[in-house]
Amino acid sequence: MKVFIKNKFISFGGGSTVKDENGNDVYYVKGRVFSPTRVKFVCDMDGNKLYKVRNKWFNYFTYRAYVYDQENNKIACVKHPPFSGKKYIIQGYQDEINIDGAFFSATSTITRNGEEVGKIIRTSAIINDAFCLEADEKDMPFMIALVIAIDNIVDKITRSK
Amino acid sequence: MKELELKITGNQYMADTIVEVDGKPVKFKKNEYGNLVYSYQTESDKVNIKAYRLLDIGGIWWFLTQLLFFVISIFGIFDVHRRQKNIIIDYDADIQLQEKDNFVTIKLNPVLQHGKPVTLETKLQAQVNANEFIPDAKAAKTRKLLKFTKLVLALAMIAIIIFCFCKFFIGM
Repeated sequence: MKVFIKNKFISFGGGSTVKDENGNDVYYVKGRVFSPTRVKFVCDMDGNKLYKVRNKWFNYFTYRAYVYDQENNKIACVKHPPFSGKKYIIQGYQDEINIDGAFFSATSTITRNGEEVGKIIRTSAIINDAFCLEADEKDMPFMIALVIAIDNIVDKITRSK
Repeated sequence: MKELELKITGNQYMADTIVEVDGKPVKFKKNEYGNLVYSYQTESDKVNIKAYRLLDIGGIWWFLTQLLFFVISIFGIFDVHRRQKNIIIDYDADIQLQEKDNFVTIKLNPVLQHGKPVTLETKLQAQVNANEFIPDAKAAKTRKLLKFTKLVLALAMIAIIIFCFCKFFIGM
């Protein structure tokens, strides 16, 4: 399945739309207006919050974001090691997932337990970020949460420079 | 000698879950993904794996330090301790070993009262004797008492602050 995640141009909480290849809304991402850790929720079209994503409060050399499930249990930590380019490691999750891509490439590959399970393609956007995500349909909400976590980390790194 | 390669995934907090292999607690190494890995050698054809979780609840000194943290963190506003559910896990399984390639992955599931704490992933023959979440009534009672004590402490501190303010600044 392929979805297109696009950050909204005007959004107080930092929300995003998630559409499929036919342009239909399949999920959406909503944020909080005042949130120091940039809390965002991945929701289905019935309004159910599937995952929560937030940044770690204080980051020094390694940037991290956390993913929580519907019961507010922390299920994964997205870690961006220093000097690792586009590599992100998912820690504490039930499967071993990492996301990596070539430095000048817009494409990152998602591998789970050594097998490729998806792709993230950063599409060119002048004002707001947009991504194309390819993954299995049943994994899609969690993969969207990972993309949002990565976007949060990149924003934090950019603002801290 | 048979070698068992054990991996624990889904573990968010290192010291949270204790795993015993043949009755002995195991000291794991962490891999790149934060998963715990361990190699166990044995002459036996079968190993027993037990997993349980300890809650962050203690005796009288733990209680007093919790009150101290409550005061220091200004009535818990800046309290960084994570919120634990009063649920422990009980997992017990017997695994039949082969001559080689004895890989076992224990996937810890998030805490859900009516779910299963562990998903076992292995090609070996396994007999699961226990796999459930158990609510800890004593921990729940202790936490309720702590909550009530914190409330009384907060009200007492606010009353003292108001009294001191009135006495020294207003002169009442």
